[in-house]
Amino acid sequence: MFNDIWLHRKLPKPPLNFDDEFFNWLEEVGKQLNVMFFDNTPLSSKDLEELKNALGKPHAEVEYFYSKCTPWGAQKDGLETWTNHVQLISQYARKKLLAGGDLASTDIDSALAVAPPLWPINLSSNASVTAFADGQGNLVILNGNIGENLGCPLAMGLRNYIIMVVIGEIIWEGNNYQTYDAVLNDVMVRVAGRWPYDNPPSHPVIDAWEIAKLPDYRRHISPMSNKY
Amino acid sequence: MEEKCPKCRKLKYPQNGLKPNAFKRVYENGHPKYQLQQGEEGLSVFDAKISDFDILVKFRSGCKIEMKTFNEIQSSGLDVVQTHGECEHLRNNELEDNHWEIRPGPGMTRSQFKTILKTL
Repeated sequence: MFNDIWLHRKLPKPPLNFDDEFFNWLEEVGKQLNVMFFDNTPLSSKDLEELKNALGKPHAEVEYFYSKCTPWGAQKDGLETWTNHVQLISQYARKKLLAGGDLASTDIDSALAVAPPLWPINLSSNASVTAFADGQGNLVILNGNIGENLGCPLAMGLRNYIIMVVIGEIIWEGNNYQTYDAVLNDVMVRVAGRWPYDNPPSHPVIDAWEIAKLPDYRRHISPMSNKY
Repeated sequence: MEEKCPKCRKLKYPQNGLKPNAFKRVYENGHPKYQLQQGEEGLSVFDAKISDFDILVKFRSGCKIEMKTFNEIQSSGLDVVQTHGECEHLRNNELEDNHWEIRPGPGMTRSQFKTILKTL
């Protein structure tokens, strides 16, 4: 689907599997596009242990990703920053769900408490990304920026997400997008994420994003009302 | 219109017109000193009044600092904006308060921005 893009930018096509070869490809396209896509230092064993203690066993893709990259780059207190960030995500989602008007605060708290944990993928000022494993074992990638796009579904699986990010960078070079949010809304970028139209994964943070998009008069008849 | 934090309604990028004379950039050996990361609209720098120690203590070992004057940055056609005020991430420490971003100049494409960053 993106053959023309790789060809036009004279970049190699991404390998099919999410493995070492894929990360070698990522490093190569990063050099050619002059962007550091991810911090290519493995997550420290101390941070990984603390994450596991707090969130449980990570999805295999996330664990492999951590063997290659640190979500918060060179920041020394990245884990602490992420921990605070996740609390903000939860508070923000709670506020949005509550504003929907048809869920009791106790239901919202229960839904958030039992929701799959959010794992850090990227922590930055405007490109924070988080992931969770759904009941079918899929890894679901979401926008993790606090704001109107928090919880916006980005991609299914880390391979698709990373390809989405690379496609986004190529498209950004050729278009006059003023913000990264605008890049993420580009049709080609959305397609690269391979988000399913049928039976998409569910999470209260996604619901909060969907509710926040509804106009006021629709919120009270939102599909979330019977969910929890 | 200036962008405001959705949570506290403070200006996201308050600009009082005063810009530091120089900025410090953290980089790691083996990586370009001035390279954007994914999704970054600007490049992180700190007001040069902050000591190297106070900056580096927040980063993993091996990180280094490079300094550029505002004039050097501006003469390349780039701008510098203060990002203090992004309240979601604000932790009220000196480093956050003195965080700035090198941004593309008016009308500059991302491709041009990246090319100029390489020459800094």
